[in-house]
Amino acid sequence: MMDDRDITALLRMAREAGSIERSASRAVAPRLALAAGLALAASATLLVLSRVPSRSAPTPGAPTAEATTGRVPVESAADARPDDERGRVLLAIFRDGAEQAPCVIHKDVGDAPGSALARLSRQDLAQLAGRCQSGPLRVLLVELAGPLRLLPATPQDAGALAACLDLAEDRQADWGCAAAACVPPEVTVTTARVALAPPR
Amino acid sequence: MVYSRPVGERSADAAESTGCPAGAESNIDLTGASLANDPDNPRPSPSRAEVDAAHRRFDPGLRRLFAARGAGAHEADELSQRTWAAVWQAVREGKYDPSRSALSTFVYAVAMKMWLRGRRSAARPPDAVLDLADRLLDRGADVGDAAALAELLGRVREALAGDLVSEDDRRVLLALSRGLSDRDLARELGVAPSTAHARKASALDRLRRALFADRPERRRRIGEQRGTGDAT
Repeated sequence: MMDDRDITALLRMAREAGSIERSASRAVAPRLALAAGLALAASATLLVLSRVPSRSAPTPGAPTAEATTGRVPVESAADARPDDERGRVLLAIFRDGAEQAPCVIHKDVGDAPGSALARLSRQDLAQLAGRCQSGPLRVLLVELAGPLRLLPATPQDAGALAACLDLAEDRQADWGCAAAACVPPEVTVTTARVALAPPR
Repeated sequence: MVYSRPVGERSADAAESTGCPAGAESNIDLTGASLANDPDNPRPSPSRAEVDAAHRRFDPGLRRLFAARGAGAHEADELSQRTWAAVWQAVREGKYDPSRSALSTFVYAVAMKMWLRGRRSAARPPDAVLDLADRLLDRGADVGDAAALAELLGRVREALAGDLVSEDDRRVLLALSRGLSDRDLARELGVAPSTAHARKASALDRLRRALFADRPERRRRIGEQRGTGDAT
């Protein structure tokens, strides 16, 4: 039987095997010109967010989805929705310091033109954070835009999608592309990550 | 709570998927799990077009992998071509079974074989990954051993995706896959080094059992590739 050193080597090989796929995404990073404007917009918004003075108190009983492991339910909500109706969904995946299962907030943000991330106000983010039980230290914001039938419609859909995104989280250099791998190609993904300071 | 950005931390990483390549599309098998080990649902061999698509998606990563191992641009180019030629030949001859591993994982295993064939006699610094690959892959042209390794790696990737082990174990295994030392592991888990060591041993043991204990035929298959009758 393989010893611990061999099993550890297998783990490293498995990660390397995965890196072939990840590098495929990174290889065309220079082509992300279209994303630049949105990235700047998101950053600008998040700069404002960084000055939010206080977090609203946790809302008792607020709906909070716990991420679960499993296959990505990219089309789990497909059947109940019209084929051509489009929309946008925002996922806020909050992590606390103890690295418990993430608190996933799922919000329908309509289909207005432009990135909902760029329009996200500091109050919005504070409100979202307030729906989590523990004090989150960082948040991954994922905006999904595309046919409604392909977007997560329930907290369960959102939680399972978050599990896939969470799996991709260590791929920092190509996080946006890695996140895109979790959804159908018709769905556009915009991502942003914000660090939150612990409560004072 | 006050929101502020810790000094030195990236404030935001933003990107939009529309700029991602075909390789970032949702049909990427992130875990390798969906293709692995489903005898009830045999998958057809990939077509030439699918292998070509895989080549477009994974070749940049493959070359990067060779470069990370110390190959120059010319050598990486040559190794890449040999790898894809061997992959296509294996597909054509039915030696790659899509139900046993994801194509990307098979490509990786073949790439390791190609790398070792070129480097086996050359002196190299100790490397646990290459040492293990050296023991599991022979120097012949047949890629059956690469297919067996790919199948094993597919199971490991399932474990890293959380399908085979508990969430606690998965965290430990993910950290180990990044090459973390015991000390770094303790820091990451927020526990004492002795506790981290114990959790590491426990997670590795459970992974080992998940990989082999219920899979005597896998052990035999990998052993056959090595001519030992066992996977070790």
